[in-house]
Order: sequence, then C-alpha cells, then structure tokens
Amino acid sequence: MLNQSGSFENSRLLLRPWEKRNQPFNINDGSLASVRFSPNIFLNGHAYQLEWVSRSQNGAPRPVLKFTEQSVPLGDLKLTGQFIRRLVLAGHPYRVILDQPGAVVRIPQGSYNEPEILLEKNGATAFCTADVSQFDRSITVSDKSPAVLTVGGPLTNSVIATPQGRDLRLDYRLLGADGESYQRNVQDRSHPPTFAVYEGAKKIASGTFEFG
Amino acid sequence: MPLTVGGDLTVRTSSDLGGLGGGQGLPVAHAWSSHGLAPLLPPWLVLLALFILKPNRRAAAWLIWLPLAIPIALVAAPLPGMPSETNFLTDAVVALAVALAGVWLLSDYVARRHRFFTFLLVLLVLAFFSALGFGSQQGWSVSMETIQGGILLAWGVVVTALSVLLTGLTCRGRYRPFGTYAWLALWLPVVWIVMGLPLFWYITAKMGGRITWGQFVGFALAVAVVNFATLLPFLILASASPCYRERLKGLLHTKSKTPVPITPLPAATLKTIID
Repeated sequence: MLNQSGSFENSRLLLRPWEKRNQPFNINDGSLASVRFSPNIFLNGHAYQLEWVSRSQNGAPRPVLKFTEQSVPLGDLKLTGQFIRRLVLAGHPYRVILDQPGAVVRIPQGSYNEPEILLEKNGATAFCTADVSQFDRSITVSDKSPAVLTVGGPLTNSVIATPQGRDLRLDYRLLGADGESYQRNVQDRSHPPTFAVYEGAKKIASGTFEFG
Repeated sequence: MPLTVGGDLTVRTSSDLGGLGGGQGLPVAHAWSSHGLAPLLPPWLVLLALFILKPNRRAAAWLIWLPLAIPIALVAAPLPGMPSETNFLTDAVVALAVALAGVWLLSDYVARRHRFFTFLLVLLVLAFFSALGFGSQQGWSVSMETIQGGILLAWGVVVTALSVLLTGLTCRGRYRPFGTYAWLALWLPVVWIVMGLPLFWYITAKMGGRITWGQFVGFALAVAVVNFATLLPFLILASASPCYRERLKGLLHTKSKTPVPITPLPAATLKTIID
C-alpha cells in the first residue's frame, strides 16, 4: 500500500495467506494483516530486503515489490505467552513478523520494541498495539543468551479504579501475560463486561461497563 | 455506590473471553476514602447563611429553594442513561444554579447605581458561588474532568453575567417578563458563540484540532440551551414573586412598564363638548 506520493514512507505492507487475497481488510481492525512498511523485514524465519522495481507486462511498465532474501546472524527469542497468532516487532535492523511462533524463535540479532500482538484461541481473537496499550517493551536479541519477551495469553479481566470527584471511576482492562492491554477484535456488545464492588464480603455495588 | 461507604474495597470484573482466558477477573483492591455528605454541604450552608441578611429576613425570600429543586434532584439522583464521564457537566449545571441563587439572594447589594459595577458584582458573586458549588460537587479534588468542567463553568459564568448585562441594555429600562426571557434566550447563544471563538481558533489553528464551524456552533447552541434552562426557573420566580421581581429589575436596571395615567380633559374642552 503505497502512499499518494509513490514512496514507501508511512506506507503499510499487507501480509496474509494467499487464499485470503481477495478479502476486504481494515488496517485499524486489529487483525495485524497489514504492518508498517520497512525495507528490511524478517518474515517467519526469512530475512528479506524489499525494493521497488519496474517490470514490463504486456508492453507497459508495472511496479513490482521485489523480495531479496538476506543472510543475517540470528539469536534466540523466548516467548512466554500463549495463543500468539501474529507477533510484530519494530526495531533495528529488521521489522520482524512471526505467525504462530513457538516458545523459542530465532530472529535477526538487534534491538526491538513496540511489540504488536494478535492472539487467537478457538476463534476468539484479541490484539495489542503499541498505540492502544501504550505498551513499549524493549528487548535486545544477541547470540549469547536468549532474550525473553513476556506477551500473550492467557488474558485476564481487570479494572483500574480511580477516584474522580465524589465518584469512583472504573475502567475495564483486558490484560496479557505481562500486564499489556488488549482489545477484543469482535466484541459482543450485548454482553459487556460486568463488575461487582465488595466491602469485605458484602457486595455494595454492581453493574456493566459502558462501551466507548 | 452509597455516598457514605468508605474503606478497603475489592472490585471484580467478569467477561467471557472465549478461551483466551478465564471469565472471572482477579480481585483489584482499592482504598476508597469517601468523605460522606460533608463535602457537599458548604454551598448550601453559605446559601442558608444569606438568610441572616436583612433583605432576606422575609418569607418570600425562601422561595429561592424552588428553582433550586431541579439541581438538588440532579445531585440526589443523576439522570438515567447519562454516562458517568458526563457527571462533571451535571456538576457544572448544579454549580451555576447555586451561583444564580447567590446572586438572587444578594441582589440588593449587587445592584449598583452604575450598570457596569452591577455587572462586575454579578460576575464576582457568580464566580464565587459557582466555584464553591463545583468544588463541593467534585469532592474538593482535581481530576481531568474537574478541569474540563471548571473551564466550561468559568465560561458559563462570564457568558451569564454578560447576557444579563446585555438584556438589561436591550430592554431599554423597561421590565417586561417575556421580553426579558426572549432577550436572554437570544443573548445567551450569541455570547456563547462570540466567547467560544478564541477557544475554537486555539483548538483548530494552534492545536490542529478538527472541529468544523457547524460542530462549533452546534455545541455553543446546545450549551446555551442548557444555560438558559438553568436560568429560566429563576426568571419564572422573578415573574411570580414581587420580592424577586424587584431584585431582577435591580440587576437589569429596568423599571416596570406602567400604564399611562388617564388625566381629566381640560375644563374648556369639556365645556365645548357640552355646548
């Protein structure tokens, strides 16, 4: 997805199974089908350099994105969370995209941050993006010892209670393995999360959270 | 939650996560220090204290509680369906009503010979009582909502004082109840829009906000309607009660429209007619 000026700046790369190539998509739906463009990407065990080339098709020049595989030193990354369907790591030297990674994966040595995560289990999905969760975790992958990234499931229902004037404000949170905040991709609005407030063992208030 | 509750609370959430996690959330502890009803009392106690003043030592002065019944009801039972994030708006409306009651009770002292000094004193009394009312509604604590509501209320105080001043000027010295209502209903949106222009410019030009003219005017009109609805019960009281009518006339610098007295015809003319 090029921007209007024809450059890759602020562009996105759509990466999804070939059989879903004709399905509509939305970059803000949390599916992580598209990722922020980088000329260096590491996709499921392979490092690529991306460049823009022009090829002739039926006599007319057509722009083509060329993937050139690179050989790069790798290091171990240990993932302690569960249910990860896609993990995207921004950083240097590669933007890393991992689909259904195992507990230990090998990725290019370097520094990474702003993990974006899509979780899936039994058809239920949830996502965590750096801008939504304000979750900025930096890791360094080297050839010495495995780096550890604690993200993913199982998820936990939680709440943040904040005094607001004479009220106690309750904000619902869906937390991951390291306290990172997730959102459901598809939320059943007819069944919003519920809360109950106890003073000791006595329930003094209860209700449902409002969306928005 | 009951106002009188305080102490260590535990909040539990639950939601079906469809296999991504357990439905029941972990308990979250919160030390809730409720001050009970005490923080709500100061503005009402100060209003009560105003009945000690000589102009208010009469039964009619107690009628001021009638227009305050709506805000008191809002405090006791917030509007159903209103999201909790908008509580500060209700608090601002209640605070403005308390401030108007303060002006009505102090009007014998606020109304000065010169219209401009009356405006300044109205502004001062409105500012004092609205700060007292809003602070108590917010539990004397500061949050983002307190700042948002405070800015809106401060604007409302200035707009209300200016609108009363302009209504007095446009009534040209004559008090007509419905004319007063109409002029106030006109001046409030006009002043809200004019007063909101600097804020609109700041948000759009300086902060890069995306607010259209239509949205800005729509918001200003909506706020003006709420402002007028808060003021209207006090105007109706002034129309119904001679005690408060005189006070409003003092604030507006107006006099009642009195009928022209019928004078007897001159004797010569009368004689001519008889002839």
